[in-house]
Amino acid sequence: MVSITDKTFLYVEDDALSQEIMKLILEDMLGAKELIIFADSKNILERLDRIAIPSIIFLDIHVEPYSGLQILEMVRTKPDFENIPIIAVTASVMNDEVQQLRQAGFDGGIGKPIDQDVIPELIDRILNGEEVWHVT
Amino acid sequence: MRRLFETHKLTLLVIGTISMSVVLIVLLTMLFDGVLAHIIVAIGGVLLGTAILNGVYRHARLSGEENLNRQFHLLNTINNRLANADTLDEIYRQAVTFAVNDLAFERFAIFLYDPIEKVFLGTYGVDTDGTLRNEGYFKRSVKEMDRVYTLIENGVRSKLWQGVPIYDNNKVVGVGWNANAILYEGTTVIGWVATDNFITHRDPPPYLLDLLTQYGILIGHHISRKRKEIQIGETEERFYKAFHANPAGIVVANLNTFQYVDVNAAFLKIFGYTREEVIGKSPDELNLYVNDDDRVYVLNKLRNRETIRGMELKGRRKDGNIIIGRNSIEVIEVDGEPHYLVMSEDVTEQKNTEAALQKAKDELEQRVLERTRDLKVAMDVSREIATVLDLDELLPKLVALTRESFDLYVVSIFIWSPQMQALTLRVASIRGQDKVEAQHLMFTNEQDYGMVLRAQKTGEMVLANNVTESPVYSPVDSLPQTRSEVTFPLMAGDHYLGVVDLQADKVNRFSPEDVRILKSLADIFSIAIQNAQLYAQQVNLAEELQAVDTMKSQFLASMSHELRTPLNAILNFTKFVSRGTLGEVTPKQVQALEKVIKSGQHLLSLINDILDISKIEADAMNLFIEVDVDLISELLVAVDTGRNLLLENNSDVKIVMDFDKDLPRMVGDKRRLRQVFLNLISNACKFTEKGTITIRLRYQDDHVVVAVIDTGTGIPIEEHEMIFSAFKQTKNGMRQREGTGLGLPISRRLVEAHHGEMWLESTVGKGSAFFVKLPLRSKELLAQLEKDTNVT
Repeated sequence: MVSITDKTFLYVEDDALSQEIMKLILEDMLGAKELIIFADSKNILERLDRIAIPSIIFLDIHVEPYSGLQILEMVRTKPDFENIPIIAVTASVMNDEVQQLRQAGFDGGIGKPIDQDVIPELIDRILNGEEVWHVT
Repeated sequence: MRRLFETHKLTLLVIGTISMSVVLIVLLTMLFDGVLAHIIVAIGGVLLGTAILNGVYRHARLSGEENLNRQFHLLNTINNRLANADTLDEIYRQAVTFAVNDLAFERFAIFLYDPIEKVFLGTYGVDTDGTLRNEGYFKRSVKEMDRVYTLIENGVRSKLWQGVPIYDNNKVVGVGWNANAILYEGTTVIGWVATDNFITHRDPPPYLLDLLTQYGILIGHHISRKRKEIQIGETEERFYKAFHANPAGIVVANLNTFQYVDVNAAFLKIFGYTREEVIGKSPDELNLYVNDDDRVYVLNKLRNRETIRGMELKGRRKDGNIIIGRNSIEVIEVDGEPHYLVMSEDVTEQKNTEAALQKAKDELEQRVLERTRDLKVAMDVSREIATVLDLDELLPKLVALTRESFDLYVVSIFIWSPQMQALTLRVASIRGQDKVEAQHLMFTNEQDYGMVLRAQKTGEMVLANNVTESPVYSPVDSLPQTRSEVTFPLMAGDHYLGVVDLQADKVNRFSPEDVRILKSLADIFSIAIQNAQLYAQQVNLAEELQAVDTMKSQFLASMSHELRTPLNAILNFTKFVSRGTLGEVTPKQVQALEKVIKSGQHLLSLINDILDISKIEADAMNLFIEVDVDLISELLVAVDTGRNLLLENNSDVKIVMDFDKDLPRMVGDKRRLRQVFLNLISNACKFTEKGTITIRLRYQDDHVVVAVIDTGTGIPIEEHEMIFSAFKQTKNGMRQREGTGLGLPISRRLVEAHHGEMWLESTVGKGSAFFVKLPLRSKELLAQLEKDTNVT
C-alpha cells in the first residue's frame, strides 16, 4: 500500500454531501494530508496555480461553469499537471457516458455511489499508474 | 294423204337475155333498199319490159305482148307485196302463195338455212291444191339435201331434175320433175326454193330455170332485207333499253350549246330532277358542279374532244345535297352535230362506306396508339408509386403526368378527410397554370353538389361528356373551357380516399374506352394514395416511437443519476457511522446500520438492473469491448463474491472450481462478463442450501463453456424459459426478497450480445446447471470494435 499521508488531492464537486464523503474517506479514513475542494470551476486554472500540485484530481462531471470534461481539457494544457491522474467521479454510469469519459482522456472513473470499501485499493492502483474504471 | 301437184294455169317463158336484166334490176334493188318498186319502174322498166317482150309463154294462148305485160305485172306485183310485208313470215307466205297461184308452179316451198345448226328448215309451202302449209317439220342437214348441196358446192343458182321421184312426207308420191334455186344474201346461202311437177301432166317449160332463178333472187333479197330491218329494229330497241333502263345515269348534251338533249331515268334519279327540268338546260343552269376546278377541267376535255374515264366528280342535286359520281364522258356525233354523252355512276354511298372504313381504320390505329400511351402512363404512374411515398411529392406528379399524357384540360385530386368530413382539393394540374391553392369543399347542400362531391357521395363514376347538357355538371368560374368532365371516387376497399377529377376542353372527350382506362388509372391512384398515407402514418408512428424512446432513455439516465446521488450519501454516511469513523457505535447500532447499507445496496442493484434491462429492450446495450479479457480473473472475482455470500449466510455449501488451464485472453466486455457470472454464482449461492457449487470452465478451439452447477432444489422444466424473461420470477425466486427478477434475463442478453449462448439443465430435487458458451474471438465484436475505433 502506498502511503498517502504526505499527499494532497483535489476534488472538484458542487454537491456538499459528496465533498464531505470524499473528505471523510481520504482524510479521516485513509489519513491523506489534504483533500482540497473546489465547489465550482470558476477561474479554475488560476486557482490551480495557488494550490500545491495534487497527487490525483477527482472531477465531478456536472459542475459549473465548466464541466468535468472541459476542466480536463484545460488542466491538460498546464505543463505542471501533465502527469497528474485525473479521475472522473460521476453518477452518470451508463455505458455510453463512461465510454465518452474514456475517450475524453480521463485516467479513470469512479461511479457514484462511491464504494468507500474499495477506494483505498483504487487509489493505490491509480497512484501506481494504472487506469482504473470502477463505475458499477 | 296430200294431193299431188296438178296442172297449173299459167307458165311463164322467159328467155336468158331477159333473165340477166332482171338479175341486174334485183341487184340494184338490193342496193337501194326500200325503193325497189320505183326503181324497177324507173330504171329497170325498159329492160324488164324488153325481157318480158322476148319471153314466150308457150302454153298460154295469149299473145306475146299480153304475156310480157303480164310477166311485168306479175313481178311488179310480187315485188310490191314482198316489199310491204311486215314480217318475214308474211314474206314467206306471200312468196309461196304467189308461186303457185300466179306463177303456175304445182308445188312451191321455201327452205331456210340455219347457219348455227347448219341445217335447212322448211318454212312454208303451197301444195298443188293451193293450200298453204307450214313446212316446220322439215329439217335436213345440208349434205342430206344432196341435190341442193351439189348446187351450192358448184356455185350454180338453180337446176332442174327430170324423171325423178316426187316425195311427200318422205314417201314417193309420183314421178316428175323437180327444180331448186338457191337463195343468197350477197354471197351467203340463206336457203333454197323448190318446185315439183308431175311429168304426167307436162314437161317443164324452157324458161323455168330462169324464172326460178329470178324469183329466188327476189325472195332472197326480200328475206335479207327484212332480216336487216328486224336486226336494226332490235338494235335500236336494245339501245333504247340500254339508255333508259341503264342503272348508270346517262345524259346526252349538245357540245356547242351544252344543252341536254336526252336523259335517262337513272340520271334524273341521281340528281333529283324531272325530265322536263333537264332537257334544254345546261349543267351550269342546273348548277351541277360543286367545284369550279372540276367544271373547268371537264370543259377543257370536251373542247379538245377528249374522252374522260372514271373520273370522280362532286355533283349537286336539286335538293342541294352533294353526291359523288364516277363519270365517263365521250364525244359523239348525233345528226352531224357534236354531242357528248355522260355516264355517271353514283358512288356517294360507296365513297361514304370507304370513308367510314378509313375512319374506322384510323380510329382503330388511334385507339392502339392511345392504348400504348395509356399503358405507358399507367407504367409511369406505377413507377412513381414505387419510388415516391410522400403524398406531397407524389400527387403533383400524378396529376401532371395524367393531364399531359391524356392532353386534358384539368386533372385534380381531392382527398377526403374523415375527421373534417370534407373533401380537400389537394392538387390540380391545369393547362397553362402553375399551381392551385388547396381548398376545402364541404357538403353544404344536398341538392347542389358538383360532380366531385357526387362521385364522393355515390361512390360511383360521374360522367358528363357534354357539360352544357349535363344535369350533374356545375360550372366553375375559374375553369371556363371545360366541355366534358368525368370524376372517379378513389377507394381503398370500402374506404373513401377522395376523388380524381378529369376535365377536357372538348365535347365527348371520354369514350367508353377512355373511361375504362381512366377508371384503372383511378384505381392505381387509390393504391398510390393509400400507400402514401400508410407510409406517412408509419413515418409519424416511427417518429413518435423514436421520441418516446429518446425520452425514456433520457428519463432513465436522469433517474439513474438522480437516485445515485442520494444513495451516495446514504450508503457512505451509514458506513462511516457503522464503522466508527465518526465515533463509537454499539454492536446493536452496527447491526441496524448494516441493514440500512444492505437495503441501500439492493436499491442500487435494482437501479442498475432496471437500467440494464431498459437498455437491452431499447437495443441500446453497448459493450465496452476489449481484446485481452482474462475471463478466469473475472470468474475469480465472482467466486469471491459468492464465497462472501455463503459466509454471510453461514452456509456449508462449498464452491469447487474446475478450470481448464491456459485459457487464452478473449474478446469481450469484462465488466459485463463479470456481471453475468456474479449473477449466476450469487443465484447458486442463494438457492443452494447444502452440497456444492461447481464452477467448471472448458475451452475448445474457438470457444469456452462455463457451467455453474449447484445441488439446489432444481427448476421445473416449465419454468426454464420463464426465468429468462424480464420481470418474471419463479415461485422460488419470489420467495427471495432480494432479487429483482432481472438478473437472468440481463445475463442471457449480455451473453447473446457477446454472440454466445446461455442455457439451463436442471432436475428438480437434484440441482441446476447454467451454461454459458462464448466465442473466444468473436468476429462480430472485433468488427464492431473496428467500427467504433474508426468513428472516434
